[in-house]
Amino acid sequence: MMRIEVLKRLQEQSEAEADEVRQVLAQNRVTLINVMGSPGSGKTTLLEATLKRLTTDLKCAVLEGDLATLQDAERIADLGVPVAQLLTEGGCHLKPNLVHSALLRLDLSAIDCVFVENVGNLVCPANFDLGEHTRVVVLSVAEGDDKTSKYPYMFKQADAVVVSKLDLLPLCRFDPARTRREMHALNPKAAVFEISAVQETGLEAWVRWVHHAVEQCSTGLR
Amino acid sequence: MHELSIAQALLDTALTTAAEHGAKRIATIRLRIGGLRQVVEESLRQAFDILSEGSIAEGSVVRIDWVPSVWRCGVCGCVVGAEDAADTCSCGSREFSFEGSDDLVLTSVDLECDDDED
Ligand SMILES: Nc1nc2c(ncn2[C@@H]2O[C@H](COP(=O)(O)OP(=O)(O)OP(=O)(O)O)[C@@H](O)[C@H]2O)c(=O)[nH]1
Ligand SMILES: [Mg+2]
Ligand SMILES: [Zn+2]
Repeated sequence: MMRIEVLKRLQEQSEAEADEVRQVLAQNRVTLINVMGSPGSGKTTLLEATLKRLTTDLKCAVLEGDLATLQDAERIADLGVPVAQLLTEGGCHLKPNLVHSALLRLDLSAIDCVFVENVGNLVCPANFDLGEHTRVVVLSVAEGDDKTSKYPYMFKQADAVVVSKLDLLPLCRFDPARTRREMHALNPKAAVFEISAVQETGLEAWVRWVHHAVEQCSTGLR
Repeated sequence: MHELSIAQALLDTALTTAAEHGAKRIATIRLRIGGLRQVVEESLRQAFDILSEGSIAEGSVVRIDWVPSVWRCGVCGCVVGAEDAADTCSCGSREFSFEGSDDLVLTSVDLECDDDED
């Protein structure tokens, strides 16, 4: 019997695929924003509201990750925004190679920023770097304010947390101060926004942040 | 079910190492998993058993060294459960810090080779 020290990180293969995505993005000067959150947290609704406010000065596209159906992609296409639906067929998260092939189907020379809507799930997507520049987690107040401590990996890696459906706050047990406090412990650099897509509140600060993220990224890419 | 992807990467890495050393069987695989990964042990073991069937890793003993995550009070330093990090510490502080590992590392393998005496 022979004991061999290996000390190999198991995410190496997946990270190499993410690096290839980063290469494609750098070559085309495109920013990639990975949008994650629970099923139904309001990811697509946030993207719809964001795209309406962004598209005048930023050329955007969307990759919609879902287990099944084209419904989310159709909602984005209705806005006249280029979109591709990525179906994982049972897979509970997107992988970098799926994003890579979808990016190659877009006309990247005419695009500044691509949003990826990941599969609704607070566990698995946190484990997969897609090659994105920025990670956003959408957390609706209806889910409860304990989610940050229950799913620390997802929130620890977030560059921004969008607390959504703020219009439902009077009906829910959700303390936005708790989210800010726990985000401070998990990742003090993360920005926290509170929005309601229905009442169209809180969106300006969030949209400014997206602009800033794209600008920072494109100066880095140059 | 990110456990399936992890099991696949674990198997691939172990098999590559075994091939490099001309092993005929992998007896034991040791790995370190950080609590942040939220890996379900049962799912990981099941996935590994299914994927390794018919390979020289079939029946390998998989030993997992878990690295737990902790919430710690920033004033008195005591460790509290995740459910208490939203409350006030017994020392009166509401400042907690979080320490967690996202390690996912194949640390070592025990290989049986042709020239093994036993
Ligand atoms: N009250 C309220 N409802 C909202 C808001 N934003 C989204 N919703 C509703 O929440 C439900 C889910 O919204 P989606 O945007 O489809 O959520 P999603 O995260 O994209 O869902 P999946 O892609 O299926 O995981 C829909 O019925 C939306 O109308 C909001 O700001 N306030
Ligand atoms: Mg959606
Ligand atoms: Zn204390």
